Amino acid sequence: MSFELFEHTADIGLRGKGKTLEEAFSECGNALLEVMSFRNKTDEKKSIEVNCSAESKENLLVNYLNELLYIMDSKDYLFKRIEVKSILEKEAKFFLKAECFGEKLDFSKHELKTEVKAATYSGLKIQKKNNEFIAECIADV
Amino acid sequence: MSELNQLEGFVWEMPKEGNMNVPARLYVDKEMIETLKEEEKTNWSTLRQLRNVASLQGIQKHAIALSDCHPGYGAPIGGVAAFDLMEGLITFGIVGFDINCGVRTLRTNLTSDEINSKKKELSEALFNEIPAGLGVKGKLELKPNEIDELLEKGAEYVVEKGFGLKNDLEFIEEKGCVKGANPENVSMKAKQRQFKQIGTLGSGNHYLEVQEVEEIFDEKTAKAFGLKEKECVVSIHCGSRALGHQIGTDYLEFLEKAAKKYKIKIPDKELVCAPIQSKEGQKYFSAVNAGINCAFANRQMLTHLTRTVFSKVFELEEKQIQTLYDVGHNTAKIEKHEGKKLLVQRKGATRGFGAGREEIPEKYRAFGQPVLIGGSMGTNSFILSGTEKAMHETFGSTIHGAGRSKSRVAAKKEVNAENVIESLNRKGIIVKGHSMKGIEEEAPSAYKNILEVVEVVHKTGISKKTVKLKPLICIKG
Repeated sequence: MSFELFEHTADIGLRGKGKTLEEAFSECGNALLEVMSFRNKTDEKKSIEVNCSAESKENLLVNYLNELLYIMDSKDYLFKRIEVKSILEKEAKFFLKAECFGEKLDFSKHELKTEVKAATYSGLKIQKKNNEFIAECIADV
Repeated sequence: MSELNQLEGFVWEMPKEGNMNVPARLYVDKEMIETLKEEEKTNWSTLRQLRNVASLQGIQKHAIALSDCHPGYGAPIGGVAAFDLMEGLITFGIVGFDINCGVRTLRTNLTSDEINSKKKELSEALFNEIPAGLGVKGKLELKPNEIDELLEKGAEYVVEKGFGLKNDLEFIEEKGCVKGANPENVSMKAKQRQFKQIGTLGSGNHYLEVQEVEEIFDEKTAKAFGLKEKECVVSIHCGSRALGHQIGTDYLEFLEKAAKKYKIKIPDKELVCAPIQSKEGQKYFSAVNAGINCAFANRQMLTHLTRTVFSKVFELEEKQIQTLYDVGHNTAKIEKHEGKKLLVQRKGATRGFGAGREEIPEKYRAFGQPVLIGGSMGTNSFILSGTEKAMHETFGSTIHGAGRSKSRVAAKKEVNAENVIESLNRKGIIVKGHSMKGIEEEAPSAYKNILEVVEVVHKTGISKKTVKLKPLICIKG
């Protein structure tokens, strides 16, 4: 399980890898957090459950990342780590459940980097290579 | 590899081929052409994105890329496309997430000597008073019904609340309020994110700069814009904040479904769209208009905060700080061009109407619309004026800034924030940032040379250089 940030002229690429699709999605979420903040400064004090759905796995990735941004923004929260618990397919729709660990945003404690406007449909790709799932997209910063 | 033909000095054409409905037109110099060709060999290519835009249904005349162009998501930044109202599309890929991101410039009537005498104090006051950076709250918290009113009225709402001068509105594009905004088509999620964010600068490439008029190129126009050498202006670069981002997020899937429903072939998933006249297209357009108004309101609130700081530091009356102009660069607007109403969509491109257009404030009408061009951190900015030539060739559009040349990942590898701040300090520029990483990503070396970018549009006659600005204080989001 790992993530990486890859280059794009204006924005930034998020890539998550894992043995399962859930792991790849978790890591893509962690990549998003890495763009936003120094994660070692955030503690895992509380967990918040995030649920979302979409009509394809690709759209699910974008919806899930954007839901993380919405929750952190509207609740004044900062996450340190994301664990995607399940991705299920039901009647041609995909459902995701994730647990997000973090705490209330505290300017005196947290060191922030860049605000992410949104995850985009650009460069959106989910693939399986040599038994490894790779999920990637471009985030607008 | 794309075929590119030189039409004149800085004007190039990519002929219509394959699925393109119109050719593409590029306003770039020879060196930029070489960069674009090199870039085409990589994953992210301006030329490919431009070809994709040219293939959208109902596009008029040509898809345009200006000298600040670089790859975006879906459509290139520094790009313009105009669509027939009956046959054309409204696409997410052009407007993007940061709806009506733009620049407001204020005249201070203070000289650089006056600014320099209190530079440190001023920079600290601006840094403390202007809410910026990730997660920060604004000074105007709104209730749900209030945000609806703000989305309908734009900057006017903020002025009515007492945060601004009545004549600020006169000098904002669309007078600070675009018609056709429908708050009902903006989700509660989007509104919720904005309750506390009105009057915040944001982060990334957003900034507030105190700038000195360093050089005047066109005396008459500069005088009309109220600009004198050595006098200082404040430029505020920001957009519709989280509300705009959330409108984008909400409409991605919506427009993807609409494109499927109307059997529109889209060459890139990010170019999801709907026919302008469809109910989906109209719904999205009304949400975009709400986002446009939100950005006008946001820059109005920041104008108020800037006035408060200046009046305190320099003990002056707030009305001494006047709005020169406010113009957006991520928009979709209905405009009349050569007798026909079109939907002009601009991504990282500024409206720059030529003299005589009634959309231009009366005071400036004989000189062309002021065009506010932001340089990169620590480099020059420019104020240009719109031209008649742009009306014929670029749907009255021009560049928005320097345009990135290096990715954020690459920029961070090469520079260190402290060195950037120190080298700018040596040039007499105070830089204050809420994020050190942000400063690295925005280092001047990550951008194209603004002087070259401006020279292309000036020499082509798409806009005319009025003044060059030099930064004295830079507050980064």
